[in-house]
Amino acid sequence: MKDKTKETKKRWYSALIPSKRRLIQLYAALLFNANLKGFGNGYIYMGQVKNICTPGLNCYSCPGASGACPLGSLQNALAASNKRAPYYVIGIIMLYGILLGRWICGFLCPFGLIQELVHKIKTPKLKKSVFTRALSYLKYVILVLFVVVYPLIYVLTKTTAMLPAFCKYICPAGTLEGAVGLLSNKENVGLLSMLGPLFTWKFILLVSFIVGSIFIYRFFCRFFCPLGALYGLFNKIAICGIKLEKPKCVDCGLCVSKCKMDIRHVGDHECISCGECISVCPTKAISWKGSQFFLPPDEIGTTDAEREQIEKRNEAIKRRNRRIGIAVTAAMVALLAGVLVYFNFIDKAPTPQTPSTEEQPPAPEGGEQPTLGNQVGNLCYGADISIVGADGEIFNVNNTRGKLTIVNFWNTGCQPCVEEMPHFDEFAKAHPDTVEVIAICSNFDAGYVADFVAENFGDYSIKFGLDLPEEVYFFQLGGKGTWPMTLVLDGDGVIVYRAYEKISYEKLESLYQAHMVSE
Amino acid sequence: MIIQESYQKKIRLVFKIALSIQVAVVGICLILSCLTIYHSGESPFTVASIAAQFAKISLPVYLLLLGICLGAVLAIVMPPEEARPTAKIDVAVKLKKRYEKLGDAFASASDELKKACERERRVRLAYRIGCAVICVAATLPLVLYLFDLSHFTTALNESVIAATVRVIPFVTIGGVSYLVMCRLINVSLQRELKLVESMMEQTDCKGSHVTKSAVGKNEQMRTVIVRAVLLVVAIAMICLGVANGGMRDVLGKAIKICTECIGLG
Repeated sequence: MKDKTKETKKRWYSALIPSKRRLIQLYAALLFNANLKGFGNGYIYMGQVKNICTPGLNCYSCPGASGACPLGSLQNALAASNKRAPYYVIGIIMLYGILLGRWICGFLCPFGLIQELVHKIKTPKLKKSVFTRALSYLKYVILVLFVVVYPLIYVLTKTTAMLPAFCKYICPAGTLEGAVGLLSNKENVGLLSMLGPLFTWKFILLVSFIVGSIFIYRFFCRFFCPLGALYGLFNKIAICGIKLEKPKCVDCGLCVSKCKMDIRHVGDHECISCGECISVCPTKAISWKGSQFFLPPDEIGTTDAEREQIEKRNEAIKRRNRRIGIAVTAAMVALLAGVLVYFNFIDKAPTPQTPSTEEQPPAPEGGEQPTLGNQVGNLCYGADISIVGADGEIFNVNNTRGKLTIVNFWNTGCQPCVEEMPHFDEFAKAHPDTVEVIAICSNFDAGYVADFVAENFGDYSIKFGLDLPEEVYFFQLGGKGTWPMTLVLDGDGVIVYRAYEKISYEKLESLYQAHMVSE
Repeated sequence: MIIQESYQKKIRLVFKIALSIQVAVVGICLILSCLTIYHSGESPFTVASIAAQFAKISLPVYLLLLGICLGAVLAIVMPPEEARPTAKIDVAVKLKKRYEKLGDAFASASDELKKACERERRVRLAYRIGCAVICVAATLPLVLYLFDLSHFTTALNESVIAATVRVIPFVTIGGVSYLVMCRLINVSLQRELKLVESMMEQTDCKGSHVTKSAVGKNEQMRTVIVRAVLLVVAIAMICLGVANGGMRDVLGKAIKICTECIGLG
């Protein structure tokens, strides 16, 4: 009876305790999303650490994301390759590929973890076959078409279009981590106005991928993930991963049968180095690369003295391994703790600032002065914005009384921002004396912005300005970290409209009719 | 005990089917809710309307969550026997092993059999070339379409959707030709396997286990050199990227919410 209870307890324990691989996956997911305060305040991390790409698929628009997504960065770098060769991102991806290969997929990718967790739901599972093997090549088509060709095509057409096609049309990590993560925070209620057909499509795709992952192991990874396709190209030469010792291999096929990925043999481009095959190999031909350092040599002594010596050596190796394991675990725990403390308590990355109420512009003639603020109905904060390409010229909303003032925030990497510029220009030209438009760019490089404006909007009549350092004015006027943002001020400088999305000419005209013609 | 085990199997099977139906139902409900909100004509969407729409599907979601919890309990209380992986040796591997066992006895096999084996190899090569030709032929019109930049106006979504729709038939042709090729190659390998087995009977070859040689030092050296070269190239590219402002571009994009990435706009 006691043995049976012990057996049951052991079964419960072994069913509940996560494996080492699962622990590493959870660790990596937490490390790459260490900005936990972002989930609370609804803002993404905007610090310097985002210079570095995380190895797995982790959307940089996730409120918790501590690094950049390599796939999103690659698409944006290719889309801007007419301005700058994409050395940095390609170098980073190559470095990860050579060091880790698809070990990243098996151990470090947060979206891979999500798929494995939902796959645990007890439903019938679709086994791999020659069809799934054929379908696994689809991710290479997606890599070529959506990650490389579409962004480059728009460089060749020399339009202002910038298209991270995979991120925009397919990536479920962006929808789950970015959209759901941001929209579930009440601070981002304003973003709901931007929901449309694109979000509907991406949400349907996300649900399909999650449901697919429940029935098919790593549904997205195997058939759709271009990052896995890229890393798979490095799998054979990667320093980390699984290796097969050919002299020991008897070609029994047990490793391929056990593996849930579409491998032909262990360590090929489909292998995610999860290590599940190691335990089934009858001849112990499969092991981790570099494991010979940790394993005792395969020796059998002939005499008692030799056997005793070998046993002592093996014990010493085991003790050394235990010490190394403890040291590495302690270092990893300390790293994670340090990162969490840094991101959530120490890092002074720019965040939306509470606007200052010290400076108050002169009250409009007659009537009660509305409160200074950044909401509709408030008197808009003013700031001295320097005009691009006009040295010394300053723009301030406090100096545009009597005109309908459009304050637009944009940046050079934002496609919707660039698409709506012609509407502002047309509107400004239609009402040259009664409308003032300022398009304030949030970008680090003044020279780059000046070149961009000269090349794409050279003949426009609207003004282009540069935001204050660390985008202070953008956040002061209620910016949420998304672009474009447009505020419309009436003749008294009061905010009458705000949009966190592209604005049409018709909307601008209707606002003009409502606030300028009636006045 | 046997009856109890089979009873457990039936319970697990019924539970799995019920849970998969629940998953499908919840998936469909989520998609339909999203479509309903989109087609409601409300602009802008409000938290209240979205919450109200999703509240309508809360029952199937709760049932699914309950099912998941029950499944976890079932897995602990009535754990299934872990299915042992069955060794399934690839036909190509089987053939290779037969050839290794045949060894030098291949030379003394009949000419007819040797010619038949050679024919099968040529047939498989022909299948591979045929599949490659079909894939290239299928890709060519697509490449010509993509290279014609007039198809890619500033109407981004329309251009991309049109191009992607064009890709689908070609990808399907490529996929089908690959599957057909795999099937035909498999049949050819089976035929060659029978021929080799006939050779073994003919030459009365029992064969002995052939020890595979380890990866040669030359091959190991080649791998190390390739790794070292690519590592140096990667680090050099990163340094170049930092110098030419590529790293700053990554930061510039990463610190702004990518509305397209998250499906907004």
